[in-house]
Amino acid sequence: MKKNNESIIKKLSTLLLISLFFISCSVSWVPTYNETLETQIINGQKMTSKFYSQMLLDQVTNRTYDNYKKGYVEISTEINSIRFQVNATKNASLILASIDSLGNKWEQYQERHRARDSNHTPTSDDIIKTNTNLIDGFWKPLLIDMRALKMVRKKD
Amino acid sequence: MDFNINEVVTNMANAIKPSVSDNWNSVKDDVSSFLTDRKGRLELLAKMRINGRIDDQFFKETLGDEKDLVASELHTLALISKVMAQNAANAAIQVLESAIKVALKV
Repeated sequence: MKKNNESIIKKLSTLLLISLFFISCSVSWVPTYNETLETQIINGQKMTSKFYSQMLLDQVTNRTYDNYKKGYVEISTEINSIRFQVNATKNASLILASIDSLGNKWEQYQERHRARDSNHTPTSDDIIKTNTNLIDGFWKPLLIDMRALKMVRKKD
Repeated sequence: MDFNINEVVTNMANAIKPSVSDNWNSVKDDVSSFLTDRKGRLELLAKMRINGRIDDQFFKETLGDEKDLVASELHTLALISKVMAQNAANAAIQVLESAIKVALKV
């Protein structure tokens, strides 16, 4: 009877040790999927799309930086908010790099708009369409990042 | 204890294969859309420059933007690779864990 108990205790201890080993062994190299963040990325893309659609509808002479400054600031704020959330997540360096690319590009677009105004170069429909397509291109990797994080296998 | 390491290692390898291929099938179209999007943008850009609708400065700036975008897309590819590697590693670990549990008859 005593021998039987010892054997059970031995087995349970081994199992406990093995379980602890495997808990520490399951790997985690990417951040956890965050639905709120994905929604915010989708909204951010919508905001830039709306921003350029409105600019496209406006008369060329009204497309000055000053008339669109508010929109630039709102979108910068949205990008910064996304960055803030991602920055607080573990293993997020690759996503942060894509957000930084988007944020830097958005700053450059503001600068270029100001420069066009200074040089009296109109912001043509072609410039707006090209910028819309490119900024969409910078949002897309972030959206695909979120889809990739949804594929992360949960421990059964 | 019934524990055959050769069988377990084979099962671990078998667990990795579907994990990688399923994950890749889910994102394959998204990744290839990077290329088709770029093709469309560059085609339009070239047309606009040839027709004189945009100046050389804007053309060059936009080409620079495309280069920056490639870097961002490569980060996404790296993330997808990490997700696939993580899933594969955890699937293999789980097979080993199950085999040990069976061997201990728990």
